[in-house]
Amino acid sequence: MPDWLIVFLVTIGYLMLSLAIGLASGRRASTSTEGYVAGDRSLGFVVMYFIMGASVFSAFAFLGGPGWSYSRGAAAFYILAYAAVGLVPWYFFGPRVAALGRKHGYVTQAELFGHRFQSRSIPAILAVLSLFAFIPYLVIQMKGAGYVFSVVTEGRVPEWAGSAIAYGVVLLYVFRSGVLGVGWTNTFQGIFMMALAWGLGLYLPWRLHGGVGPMFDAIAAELPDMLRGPGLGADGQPWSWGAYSSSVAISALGFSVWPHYFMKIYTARDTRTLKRTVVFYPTFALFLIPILFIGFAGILAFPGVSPADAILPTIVTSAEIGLPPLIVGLFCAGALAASMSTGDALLHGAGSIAVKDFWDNIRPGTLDDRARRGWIRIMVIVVGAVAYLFALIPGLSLVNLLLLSYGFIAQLFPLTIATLLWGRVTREGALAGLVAAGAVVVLLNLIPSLAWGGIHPGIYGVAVNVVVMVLVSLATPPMDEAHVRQFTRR
Amino acid sequence: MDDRNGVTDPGDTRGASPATEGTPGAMSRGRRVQAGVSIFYILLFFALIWPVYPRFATIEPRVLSVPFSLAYVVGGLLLSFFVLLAVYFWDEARGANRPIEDDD
Repeated sequence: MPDWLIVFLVTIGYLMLSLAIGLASGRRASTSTEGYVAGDRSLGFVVMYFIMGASVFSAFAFLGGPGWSYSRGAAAFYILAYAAVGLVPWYFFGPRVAALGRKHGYVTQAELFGHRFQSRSIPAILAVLSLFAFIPYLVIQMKGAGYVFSVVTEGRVPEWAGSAIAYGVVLLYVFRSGVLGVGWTNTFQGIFMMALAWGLGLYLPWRLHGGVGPMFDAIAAELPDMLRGPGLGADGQPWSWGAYSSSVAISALGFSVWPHYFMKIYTARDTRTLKRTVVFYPTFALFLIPILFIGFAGILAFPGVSPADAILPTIVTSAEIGLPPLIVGLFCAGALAASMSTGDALLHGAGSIAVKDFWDNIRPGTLDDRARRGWIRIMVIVVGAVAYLFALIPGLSLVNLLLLSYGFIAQLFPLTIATLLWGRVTREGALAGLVAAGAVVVLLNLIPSLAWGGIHPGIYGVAVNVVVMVLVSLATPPMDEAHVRQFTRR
Repeated sequence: MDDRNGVTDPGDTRGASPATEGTPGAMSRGRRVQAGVSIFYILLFFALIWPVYPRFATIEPRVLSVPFSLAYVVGGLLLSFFVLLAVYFWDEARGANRPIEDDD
């Protein structure tokens, strides 16, 4: 049997196993919208841990992480830096949000804001922004899946077919099982990725350099700038500290408020589950270290690989390393796991947000619970199809769209903090802050030279957001105190 | 779109839950610790970016054979984990990990 066929069969076997777990897990949920979106608020620590862990192990981390350490050296450490603090805000506001969700029946993030600010406009606007932010993120996951299929089958399975196979599986289990399908497949995929990350991350430096220490010795001797912060920029020149620091900041600020993860707060069984998930989250981020080692291992052994994201598949499939096809197949499955475990949460979140936050607010009262659940499942398919069409466009650059997405999403952080801590913030203040910040982010993305010091546009947006929100709130009449107190009381 | 229409405001007519009343000393201590922990994490955040991190983003000294620039960030990650773990156990000991309904 040819090697590529063994690799392909291992990968397909892995996909079938994921599908079986995803389909079986949905049988435990009720048939209500709450069951589909929030898993009847019954998720325990292990599943919550792996759902949040999947946020680290995306296609970006699995392929882009080694790509960054390979081409930009210490710049890749920013991923670890933001993971150290990114989820900590949940420890403090998570139990409060979960309690409000349970009391008022929220299953999405924007429902919290809509209720707090007595507004239908805010959740509808946030729904549009969320979907806008999700699509490029999802397209990257799909492209990653297609790319892996194409590389390991030596081009026999084209990228479009690889994406279709992997995301066909994802759509099936998300459609059938909702958040429980996402949770249990993420658990399976997470365990698999951890084993693979440490296995390859320690084996490849040993195989190519005789160990992690000798590998860093060699890089320090030949390319020391790769090991000193802040590493290199995309152009190969030293990166600026402004760009490095603002990348950490924008990721850390946005991390706890990405809508598809924020809504997982409502799925937690109890306060302990929620807090333990936050406490143990950094341990998941530790698994990125061996992933970064793989990129460092390739710097001197495989110079000139382009694009840099191809370094991991290049090393794994190289004749010099000579890995058996079974191991290459497991690597392929691991890369698919990284893509799918991020993509499934995005699809599930997008479908829920499109119906609960957008449709229910522009056409209130037109859906009963059964119809709503049905439409959420249909929207999962629609969003998946739209993202797939974008993934088919050759040469489409998503970098600017992703930058824009992060800039927008980070604006939810000041809004969340104000919602839960500052009773004086008003609907007008919240809206004005979001609109002003959005305008700043768009402007600085269109004219990057205006962003001083290479600082991420989203940081300027956050500063403008806070100032405008405070000033407009103080200039407008306060909201009803009894209503506001249920959000701000601790 | 018409804001306000159809958005229910059930208000908050209930008093403090048993877990939150009658222990003003314990609560204020809890708040103080929470404020201290929040400040710690804000400082940790700034320790991982400019202007603190550049002082430690060097190759030497190596820690467990990895460059100090990486060891420092991993140290931040581990510190984050252990501090929050300690806070969690402290919350357990003082009964602050109440059922979600009681947090309302």
